[in-house]
Amino acid sequence: MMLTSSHILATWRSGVRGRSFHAVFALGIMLLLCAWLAASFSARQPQAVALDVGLSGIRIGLTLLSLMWVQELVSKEIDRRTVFFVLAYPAPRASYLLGRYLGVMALATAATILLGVTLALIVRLAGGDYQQIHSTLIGWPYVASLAMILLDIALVTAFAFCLASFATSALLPLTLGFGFAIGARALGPVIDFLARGADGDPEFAARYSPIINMVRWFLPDLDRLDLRTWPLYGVAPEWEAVALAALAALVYTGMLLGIAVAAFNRRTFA
Amino acid sequence: MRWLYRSIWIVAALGLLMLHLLVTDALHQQPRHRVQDEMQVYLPRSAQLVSAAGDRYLAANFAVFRAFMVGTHQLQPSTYVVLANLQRDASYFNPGHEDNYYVAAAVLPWNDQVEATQTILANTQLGRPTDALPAFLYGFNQLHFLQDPVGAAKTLQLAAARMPDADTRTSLEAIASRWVTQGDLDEASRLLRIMATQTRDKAFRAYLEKRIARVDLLKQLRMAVAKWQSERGGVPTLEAMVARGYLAGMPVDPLGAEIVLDQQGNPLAVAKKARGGQ
Repeated sequence: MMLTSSHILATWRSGVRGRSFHAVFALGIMLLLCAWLAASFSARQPQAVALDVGLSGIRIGLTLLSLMWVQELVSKEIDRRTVFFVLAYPAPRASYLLGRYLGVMALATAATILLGVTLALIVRLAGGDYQQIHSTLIGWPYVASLAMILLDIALVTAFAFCLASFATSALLPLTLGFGFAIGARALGPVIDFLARGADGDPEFAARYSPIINMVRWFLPDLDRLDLRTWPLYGVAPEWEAVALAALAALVYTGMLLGIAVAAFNRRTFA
Repeated sequence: MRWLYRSIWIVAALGLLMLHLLVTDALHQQPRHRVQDEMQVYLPRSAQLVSAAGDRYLAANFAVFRAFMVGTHQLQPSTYVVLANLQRDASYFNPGHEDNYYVAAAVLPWNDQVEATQTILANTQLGRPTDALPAFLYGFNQLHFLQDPVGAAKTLQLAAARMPDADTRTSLEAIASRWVTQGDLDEASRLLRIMATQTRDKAFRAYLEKRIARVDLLKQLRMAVAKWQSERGGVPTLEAMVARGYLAGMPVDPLGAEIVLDQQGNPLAVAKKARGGQ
């Protein structure tokens, strides 16, 4: 337990001292610009568009950041063999891996808070004097959306950790992790599209439905964790579905971390 | 010798400078080929989703931004088809997107894309259950484009039952009863005026104002034809109506279409390349 917490602290320090927080700052500025510009495209709902694009920016930006942290703080340590110094201590390897994971998640949480506050300010300022008819909800609905984005990031990060535990290339967790995130987020809309009859093409639906039904057992449905219709349009989510989605994400994350620890324990470092 | 080299360099530099000035001027005179800014490319929904990193809300925003960038001038009929597909996809990605249904309702049904508009508005009613406007616009399209006042009134009555506040419910029910009894052009003009006052986009407002002017023009023509028919009988031509003083001059469509009378004497705005729109 003590060792895990020291790894969390070491990860946090490495993350803060490294370039990652500069990246968060740069991402924040980019987010600010994108959300601001996006608001000017809107005819009737500038604040909602700023919030919508901003939340997408946070989701994609945090994914890239957390994958970069995994690459920097785990994969490259293995690559450079600096991990040997840590593993030489009489402590389980799991404490290193889980400590690193929780450290990355602490960094991701801090980045979420920073970007979330920045976005809330942009939304307040977006649109100038124009008051949109249906106002956005920058309160608990917004906080809940950010919390669910963080859960989404926790799962994607766990996947990257799983890859890093056995990958021989430092680039693999970054590239495959991002591909996994895209696939898992697109799964929900694809299931929905097929369930609606694939735009009146029953042949297409019949051909791909069995494949997607198979895929959904392996790939998590991260679209379920996106609650933004609540802060955007005031449409509260169905809580049973949200609870199940959160539970499913936690279980999946737990499984991935379990596989990561098992693979890391068995790994032979040459 | 040194003097000769220096002279050659100076002459060469001056020559290059002269050449630069001549070429730049000649290039400036050349006609510039404009890139066709109308939307001709439609990506499948899965490709749109992947290009938005799997984020369906971002994919919806990209589609709506593209729709906005097409502009509000008279477009090719094929562009409206692409626009309709794109906005329909956006309504699947994010059924609650306010700009999407608003722009779709203002542009698409007036350009032969009624079915796509109704799909977008039906999706939006699911995504924005407490917003009365999508149901109102859906019903309006039933009234005006599909000539189904009873269906339109039913849509409004069903929407009224879902509204959380009593005022909205009463307003929708009042409009439903009016739709069954009144003409569609009055309602079209009223609706477009409301939409023009609610948008912050100047170009879009200007477009809506032209639409209002067209609807008002069609309304005046309809009245003039009705007067002709009550006084003289038969179906007039526009030229005859101008000659006999029923119209001050030949009607000019503010959106650049051609104004004609059909065989029953109903005034229509017909696109110059393809027939469609009113």
